[in-house]
Amino acid sequence: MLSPIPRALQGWRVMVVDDEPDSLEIASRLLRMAGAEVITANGGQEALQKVRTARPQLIISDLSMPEMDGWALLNELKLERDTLEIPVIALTAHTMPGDRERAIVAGFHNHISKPLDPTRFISQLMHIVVDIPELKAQLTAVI
Amino acid sequence: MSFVQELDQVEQLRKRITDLETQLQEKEQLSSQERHSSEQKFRAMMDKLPVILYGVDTNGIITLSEGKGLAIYGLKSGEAIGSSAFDLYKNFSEATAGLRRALAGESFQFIQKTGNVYMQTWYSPNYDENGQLIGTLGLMIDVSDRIHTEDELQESRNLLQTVLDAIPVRVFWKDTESKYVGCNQLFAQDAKIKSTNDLIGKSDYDFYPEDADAFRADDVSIIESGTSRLNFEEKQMTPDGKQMWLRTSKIPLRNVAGEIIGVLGTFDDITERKQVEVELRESKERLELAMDIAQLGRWDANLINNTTLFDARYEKMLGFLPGELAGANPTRVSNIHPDDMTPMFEKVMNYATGKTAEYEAEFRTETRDGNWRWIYAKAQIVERLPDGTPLRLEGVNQDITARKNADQERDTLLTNEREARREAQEALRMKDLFLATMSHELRTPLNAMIGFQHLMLFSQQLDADNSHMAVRSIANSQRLLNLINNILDISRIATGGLKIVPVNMSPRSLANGIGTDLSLQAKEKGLNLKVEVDDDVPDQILHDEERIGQIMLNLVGNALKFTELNGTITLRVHSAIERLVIEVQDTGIGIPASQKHVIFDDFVQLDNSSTRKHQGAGLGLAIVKRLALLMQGSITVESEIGQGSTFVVTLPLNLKPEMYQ
Repeated sequence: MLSPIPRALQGWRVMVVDDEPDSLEIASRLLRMAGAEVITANGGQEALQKVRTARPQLIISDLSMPEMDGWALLNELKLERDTLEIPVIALTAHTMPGDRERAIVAGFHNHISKPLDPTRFISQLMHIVVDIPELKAQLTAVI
Repeated sequence: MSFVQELDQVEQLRKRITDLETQLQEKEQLSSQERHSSEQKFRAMMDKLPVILYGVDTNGIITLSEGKGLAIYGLKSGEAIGSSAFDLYKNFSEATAGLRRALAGESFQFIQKTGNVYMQTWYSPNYDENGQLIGTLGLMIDVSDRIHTEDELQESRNLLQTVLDAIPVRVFWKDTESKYVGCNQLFAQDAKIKSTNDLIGKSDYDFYPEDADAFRADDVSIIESGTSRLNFEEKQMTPDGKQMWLRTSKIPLRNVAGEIIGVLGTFDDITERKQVEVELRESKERLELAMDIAQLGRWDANLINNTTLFDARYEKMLGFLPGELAGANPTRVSNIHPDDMTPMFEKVMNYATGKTAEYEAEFRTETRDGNWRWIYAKAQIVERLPDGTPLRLEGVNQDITARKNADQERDTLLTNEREARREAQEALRMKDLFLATMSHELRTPLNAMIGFQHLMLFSQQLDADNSHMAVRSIANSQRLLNLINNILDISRIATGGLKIVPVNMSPRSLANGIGTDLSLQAKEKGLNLKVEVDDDVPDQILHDEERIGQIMLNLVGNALKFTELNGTITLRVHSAIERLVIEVQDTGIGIPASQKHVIFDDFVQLDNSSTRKHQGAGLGLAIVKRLALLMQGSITVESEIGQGSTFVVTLPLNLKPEMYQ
């Protein structure tokens, strides 16, 4: 039997960016199950529009999207003082080998393989954010 | 006065002398006065004759010494009487020996040589009336002139022989019976005889039996016709069996009266020249044959008056009759295809002006019946004007139409082949594109299904039955996803679409991650999954993390599938010299030795019965093997039925990025 999702992200404000509605919904639901407040965006443009007002603590973004993709979004975020420090995690498809390394070099905080593994997504996220002090603090507070 | 006449006179004189002596003896009783007067008459007569008449007693004392000939020795008639003839001859052994023979009672004649003087000498014993030997009578006549003439004749004969021997031509002469009369030394050498004299009296039958009949017939025709045969070539077999070639001249030999007395012949040994001629002819024949076989036509172009001569072979090659092209006809150049004319002339000019080291050209030329043939030409300057301007160009033309056609055909084939390959590559690209699209289109909904199924379970709103159905739904979706992934992988590997991407990675974290991922599945099946990574495995290597992960996942997944309850599976990673070794050991059902070689083939599962106990399409090991090969690695398996199996994948410790770009 599957273990229930731990509410480890209680109080987090997370933005998810993906052009595929199903992927976006699954990720959002998992994050919400884990207690996070979720802002969704269906592409880079929408993400940029929402980011200033929503002020997420963490952004999880797909890389390949029409119009503004994940790479362009990251560049835009890094240009603004308000947004340059928001950690961005890339969702990398294994049909695009090499994206993982490039993502780190480009300035993504880390990456998670796509398609998401629903059973591991939250724990992967928890492993990743332990080196982000303010998020780690929030984590510890919950656990 | 001839010598014979002289002799006759002397003989008559001798008789007369004998008569006179007889008369003298008869008239011994005549008075000394009478005798004296008779002696005086005798002496006066003798002094007029160029002879010596002398008598010697048995002791060699000269008793008679008369004749004008005495002057030769510086004597006068009667002067030496009373002195010893031996004293007189003491320096001339021949004369002394003659005298002794005569005093022994012999009667003879000989030529006596005293100094440069040759005396024909007759000796006759002298008896008294009682028949008692009282000495000898001698008569000497000076024959020096004659002897000297003979010597000169001999000398001139010798000179002639020397001259004949010296000239580098064989000379011989024969009588009318074809018997040899003489020859020179060269001729003697050929006949293998020592001296030219050994030849005399012999015939060709003695030396050249094989050719003698022919030689004799020649001689006869010359003797009978009286005409010469000059400078004809004939063969001759030498006594030691060698074939000689001769150039012979034979002329009739005539005496002073103009009568033919034989044949004079001379010949040269032209064997060597003849051999050279034969060799020359043969090599020329061979050259012609070679040119025939190679279909080479020869030509000779005069660059100044712009005419070209072609040989008959070239004419024939182009269907012309002999002589049709061979004439000095400059318009024949127009045989060359208009498109090829300028390039060909340029090449000739470049060669003629020294811009290029050789002349070589290919062009089309028209045959007599109006077809075009491809010609390959090569030529050389063979003659220049005194100022160096090239005058004559000699070359060969070869018909290369067949080769040209073959070239063209090959080019067409090559073009077709390239086109076909391009099409095939395009098809492959389309297939890859299709595959990529399919891959995305197949996986995206499946992943969504799996995601939502999980969300249903996580919602905690399903009862036990619904939860069970959701779990089964997830398991089957996963199976379908795995199958699709495997099929797509196999097909991408097969078409070269799967790229190896070396990245910095930790084999340790990877193995542990795989262990974690599969631990739940192992636990559910009641199996013990262990992960062991040796300490000497580097923390970071350059490798394809995803593919190594796939190898581990497939091998462990395979082991999980074929291992029974309470079994143990161990994923072990260690490193050898520049090698990364991934080992997966299980305590499962094992693989029969006879099947080991097929387990890495596509779509193979050992149990082929319709009620298979184990799920899967049999692609896992095939993918592992192909991935290992793609990364310059290998895979082996050790197994025993009922005991379990160990799969060992050996890979380079680090990949070389330049090999995977």
